[in-house]
Amino acid sequence: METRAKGVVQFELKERILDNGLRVIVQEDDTTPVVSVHVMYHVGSKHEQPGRTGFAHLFEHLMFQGSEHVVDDGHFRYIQDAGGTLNGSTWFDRTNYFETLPANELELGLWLESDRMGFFESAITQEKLDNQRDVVKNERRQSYENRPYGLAVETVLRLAYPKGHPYRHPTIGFMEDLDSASLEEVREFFRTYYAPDNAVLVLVGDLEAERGFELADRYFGEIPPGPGSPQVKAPTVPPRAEVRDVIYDNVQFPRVYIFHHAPAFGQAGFEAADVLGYLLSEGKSSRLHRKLVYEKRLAQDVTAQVWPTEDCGLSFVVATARPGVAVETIESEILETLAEVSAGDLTEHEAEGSVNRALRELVKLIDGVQNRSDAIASAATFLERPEYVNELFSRVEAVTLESMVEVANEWLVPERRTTLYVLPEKSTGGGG
Amino acid sequence: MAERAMIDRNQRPAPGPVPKISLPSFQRFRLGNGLNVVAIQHDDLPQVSSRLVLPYGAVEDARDRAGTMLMTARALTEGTRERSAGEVAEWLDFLGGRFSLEVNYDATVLSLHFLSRVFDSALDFVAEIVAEPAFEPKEVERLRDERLDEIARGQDEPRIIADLRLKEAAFGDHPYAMRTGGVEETVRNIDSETLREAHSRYYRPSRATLILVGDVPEAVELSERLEATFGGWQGDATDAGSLADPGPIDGRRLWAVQRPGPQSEIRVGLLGIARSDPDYTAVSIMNAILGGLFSSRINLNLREDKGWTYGASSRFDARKRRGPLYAATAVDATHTVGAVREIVKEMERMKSDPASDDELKLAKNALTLSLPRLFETPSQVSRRVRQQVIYDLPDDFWETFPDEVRAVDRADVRRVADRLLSTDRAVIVVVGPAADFRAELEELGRVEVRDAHGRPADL
Repeated sequence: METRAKGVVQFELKERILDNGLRVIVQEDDTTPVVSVHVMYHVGSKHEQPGRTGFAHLFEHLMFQGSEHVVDDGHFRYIQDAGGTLNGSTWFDRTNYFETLPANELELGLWLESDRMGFFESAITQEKLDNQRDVVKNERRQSYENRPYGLAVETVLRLAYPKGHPYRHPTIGFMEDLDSASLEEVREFFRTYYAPDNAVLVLVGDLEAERGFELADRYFGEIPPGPGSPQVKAPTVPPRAEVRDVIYDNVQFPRVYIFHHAPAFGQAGFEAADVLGYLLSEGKSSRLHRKLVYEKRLAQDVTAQVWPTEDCGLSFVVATARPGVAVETIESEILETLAEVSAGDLTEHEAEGSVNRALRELVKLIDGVQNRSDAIASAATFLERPEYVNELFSRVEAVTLESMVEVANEWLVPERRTTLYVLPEKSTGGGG
Repeated sequence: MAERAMIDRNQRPAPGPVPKISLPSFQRFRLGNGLNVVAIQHDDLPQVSSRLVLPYGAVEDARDRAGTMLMTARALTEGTRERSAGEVAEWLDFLGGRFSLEVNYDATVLSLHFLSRVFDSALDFVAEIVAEPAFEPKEVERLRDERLDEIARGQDEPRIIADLRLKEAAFGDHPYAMRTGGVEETVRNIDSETLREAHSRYYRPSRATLILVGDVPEAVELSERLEATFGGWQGDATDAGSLADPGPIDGRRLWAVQRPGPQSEIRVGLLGIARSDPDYTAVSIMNAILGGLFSSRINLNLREDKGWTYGASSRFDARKRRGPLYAATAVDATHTVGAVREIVKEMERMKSDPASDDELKLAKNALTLSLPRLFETPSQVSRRVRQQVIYDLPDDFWETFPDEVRAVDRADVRRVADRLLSTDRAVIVVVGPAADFRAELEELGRVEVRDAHGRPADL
């Protein structure tokens, strides 16, 4: 049987920093006549002011409402008319905007992105703010409040982080804070964070790097640098007693969320924690799946994963009970498995298999110009080292049984743990 | 960098010449056992996307055993003649492959995504689970329980409840009324014998197609390796059962499902078209204008104008027979009936206020200029090819598609809107706080109250 994939994946990155501080990175790839234009700003929910949760994400929505030279609904219309696709997303640490276009429309993407980076303020109105506030409140209703278990993660964050900690609230924010956001705050936020020297521009696809740099300068070069965007460092939470709580939801089956603080993206141990997630729950032979879902038939599902954050990381083990199974039983089974891992009770075979699965997903992560530009932009934003993207494969490949045991002993301990039960509001018997 | 060239920001930059789209070239051959192979070398990364397409889907299920085809596919990886369920799982997980399956109304598709280093073993895996599944009663019973759990859990999700009730309300006695995985009563009737029988009838090489995209060997070498791998899989498949088109929806039908919450899930459904319908391309364009794109009428109205929703869209599911054409959204519950009215209005407006030249151009461009990015990664390519295989589309389908799109004019769009968008024969399903909106919804027609399972109920 074959062992690990050896097809190490490397990309040649070319980089230039414009006079205004905008970091531009190009990766040429002419396999398909498409190009990804990706702008990542180093601002996310962790930069929000007290009482203004959800602001960074609400702001992201406003960036699609037109700028000085782009009509209100122009972004979507222009990109779709060119055959492209676009989106944006907000994370704890950053906000990104990206479009994938046919390669002959590179300038369209640069025009749109530079206009909202340089000429946004004159186009923003109270009406647009109110409209997108309503849209975002509906996003919160649809994706969190009216979805089973939808409020669990924000509850865990509130329990796991101390008051005032930058990761203590979810990116979607809270309704009352969304209601409080004012137009003046929108302008202030833009001036503070949406500056070329607080952003990276990544171009991946069928273009020549020199032309990419020249066009980047032509479109973005005249935008003045910002006032120096204040950065926020989310401090690692020191070990403390385990925190536990229970919430009730309109669901039939109990679910447990076992959260641990974890290494940050780029920090030692991140890949080991990541691969450990595969060992625990990815695939039917993974430890937790095999035990909870297959052998003991206690749980309907189980997932273990670590989230890539810039600062002190987050990891979750989540499992949903089968009908008639107590959530306490599932929790103790999971903790027993984590204890086995910490004790080194793993086989080389399962360690190797979990590395293989992680490599497969990693290749998917850098497959396609949009995914790859995101990976490059994240490395540039979080680590100031875009070329880190070329180390990802070997870092995952280098994960060993010992390194997973080590990360488990350091992080998967009660002192870093927060446990939440989500229980049915009313007993419905769980029947179909 | 000095000497910056001036740009005119008031103008959208002129595009360069449209790049020549290099659509994948197919290598086709057939193995000795009749298995069709489509191989496409694509992309530079060391990975392969494989899909095995069996042209039999959920419509083959006996009505009282709905879910059989889905359960059969799921059971493939739960033990073979050679290996126990646990051993199959270990084999797959050590290879690092990502296995997934899809059972829709028309076909069963088994997909395995893997790194090309494990090419031979990965295909050995596919061949073994397809040809020699064990269907051990113990494992089948477990799978059945898992499916029942899954069905039960769907009742916690308003969007799933709305999707299921839409099928029932729209399709009545036709198999399209049944979800592809069956419901509690039908899944309970399935046992290992049911699956063994379905397998012996439908899992045969002669009408199956194996699609391989990515880092794959040349045809000659590939066919030798596949003969060695799949040669032991033998047998002729039976004909798929015959299926009539669903009957027309005879009048407007409104279902309200009580479910407290801050939003209402809304579906407005009509009878759509079959995949083979000559109007397929025109309907694609009409749908793009109505609700298929972000900048479509329904989304611009409900989201960007009203702010009632995070998003609203329309889609059509063109199957071997006429599937649904429907709009879907989740809205702030206080605007439930207003949103239903606006969706109905937008459907009617496709006839009274036909597509403008700009709308037509946007829809056509979105459908044609997007092709390069839709054929970028191996899994994107294999997904498109799977569609070609299921619906017998020619290999050069995507080469000729842009011309077909360009040939559609405003009159065609108007014609298909007239043909399909009759909201007096629409099915309207709303899942939300029905006690609050029922009286107002009655203004649109007689409202039937249903429970989350679709049974008649009271508020």
